[in-house]
Amino acid sequence: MPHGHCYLWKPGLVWTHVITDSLIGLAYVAISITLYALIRKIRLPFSTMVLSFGAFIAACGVTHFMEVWNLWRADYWTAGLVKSLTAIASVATAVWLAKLAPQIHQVFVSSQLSEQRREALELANQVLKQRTDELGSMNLALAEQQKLLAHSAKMSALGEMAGGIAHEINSPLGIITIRANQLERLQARGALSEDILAREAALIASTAKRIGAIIQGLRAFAREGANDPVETKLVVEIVEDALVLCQTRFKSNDVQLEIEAIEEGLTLECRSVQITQVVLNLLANAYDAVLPLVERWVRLIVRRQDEWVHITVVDSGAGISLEIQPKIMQPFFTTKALGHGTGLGLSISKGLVEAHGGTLTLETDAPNTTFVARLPFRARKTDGK
Amino acid sequence: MTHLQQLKGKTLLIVEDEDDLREPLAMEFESLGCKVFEARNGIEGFAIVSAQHIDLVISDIRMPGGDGIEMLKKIKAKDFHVPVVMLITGFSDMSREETYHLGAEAILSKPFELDEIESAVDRLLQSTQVRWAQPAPICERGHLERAFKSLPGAAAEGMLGLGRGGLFLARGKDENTVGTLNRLVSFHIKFEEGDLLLIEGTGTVRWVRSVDAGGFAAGVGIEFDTLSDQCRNDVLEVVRTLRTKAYLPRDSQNS
Repeated sequence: MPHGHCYLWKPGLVWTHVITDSLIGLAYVAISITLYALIRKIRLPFSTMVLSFGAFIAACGVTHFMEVWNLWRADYWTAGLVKSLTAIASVATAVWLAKLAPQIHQVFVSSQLSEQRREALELANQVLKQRTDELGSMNLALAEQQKLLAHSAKMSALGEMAGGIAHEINSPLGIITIRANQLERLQARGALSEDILAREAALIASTAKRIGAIIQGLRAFAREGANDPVETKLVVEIVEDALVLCQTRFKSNDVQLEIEAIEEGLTLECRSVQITQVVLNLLANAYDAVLPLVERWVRLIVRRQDEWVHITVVDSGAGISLEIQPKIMQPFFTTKALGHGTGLGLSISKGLVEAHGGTLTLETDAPNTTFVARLPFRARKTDGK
Repeated sequence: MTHLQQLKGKTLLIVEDEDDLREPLAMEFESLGCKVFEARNGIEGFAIVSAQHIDLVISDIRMPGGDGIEMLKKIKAKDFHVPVVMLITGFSDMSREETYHLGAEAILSKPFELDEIESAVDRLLQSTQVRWAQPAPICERGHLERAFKSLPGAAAEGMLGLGRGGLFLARGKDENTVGTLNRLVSFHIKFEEGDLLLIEGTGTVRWVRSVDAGGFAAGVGIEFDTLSDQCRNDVLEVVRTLRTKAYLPRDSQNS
């Protein structure tokens, strides 16, 4: 007997059951399809549990469809079978869920923990960001300080060199003065021939040029050079600018200065004022180092090796002791007497070379003290510092 | 150039590594009647001083192959009466006071004029006896006034040192009247007892040590230009007996 009889075939009651059972069944099936789709798409925790839950819900849905079916047909055995299957699925799911409960609880707790951790991390991140900002501004201040220091080091190096430079300038000035005096006297006596005039004028001009070259060399000290454009410059000229400031000092104090012939036309893309400073610093250090020695020479070698130009300064000293080797490039480290060195020369030179994408190193396996500035033949992009 | 009377017939040595300076100097001194030897460094220069009679040496201070200071020391060790004119370039490794103390009679700073070096050489070729007897030109001068028990007493107190060509005076109240290089001064120094009772005359400040430095007291080095008739012979006699190399001592201990 169809189940409709129980409702006395009252259309209102029958349709209420038809519609509600159909909707419940459809909803159950829809829920399990959605669950299945979800599991396919994302990795949910306990996915097999969810799947079994889905199957159980789907089975529930089918029992409701059977209810509708049996309103008109009396397939109660089929309905019983479907309910049995649903019961099995329900019981299995219930048991399984009970078993899984501690695990689920664990996952929940740890997810709560990780939420707390996330919050803590966020906070830490904020603090870190603040610190980074602070460090950033400290860094700026430090860079500013370093710039000042570099400047004062340069000024003090200039002070140390002042005597040498005065010598280099006053010597040719002395020549010019005496030659000019002589010309005046010859002229006063009416003994000034055109030959003498031409010869003396040429000598005065060339001597004045010597002074000009020294002033040119002083450019390396007149400005920082960091904002100069990178230019292609003959290495010979860079070296000359440095030599003009120190060669008389070498000569006057019997320190032999050997300049190995530089490959003709060899150029370097650089901020030349800075490289002149580096060469001058290396030469001045070498000079100071060999001055107390019996054997006194300094050698400057410039060679191109593939994409690099190596500027090497070797002196007659027997290298630098192992214990101070790691310190020599550090700011303020100096072996010179108090008031004779700031200890900044090498560290600044290293900075300048590195800003050009190169390296400044001490050759530790050479028999004599050897410094090598290795510079890229073509300029590399740098931050301009 | 009638004022350069001493140069004629004298033998000079010019030691200078710059050919372009040494050659015209030699030429000009030769044109004034000097015989001139030339050297490029101190070692060459001393070899000439050792082999020849030289009346006066003009030398650069820094030269490759033997500097001027080493040569000055050797010349003064051999015969400190040979005047040496040192040419410096302003900032020298050797201070002015040290150079005078080592016995140099004059220091000329490059660049200098021909007139300057000629008159300096001419003046040094005169004996101090004649030089110090000349009338002092009238001009504005700073004045130094001192009174001591005796010359050795003043030296022992570190207040005064006498050299062959002038003296060291420790700083006094009158320091601001003598405080600059090449300032012309007059001085009046009295002693109560001893061989020397007065040092009076005119001079030129050749160096100034404005603060105590390197173990030496603040003071000035003054070269005598003229000495008064009352004291000249006594000073000459004391200087002779001192037998000091220092032209202007750098302190009261003039060895």
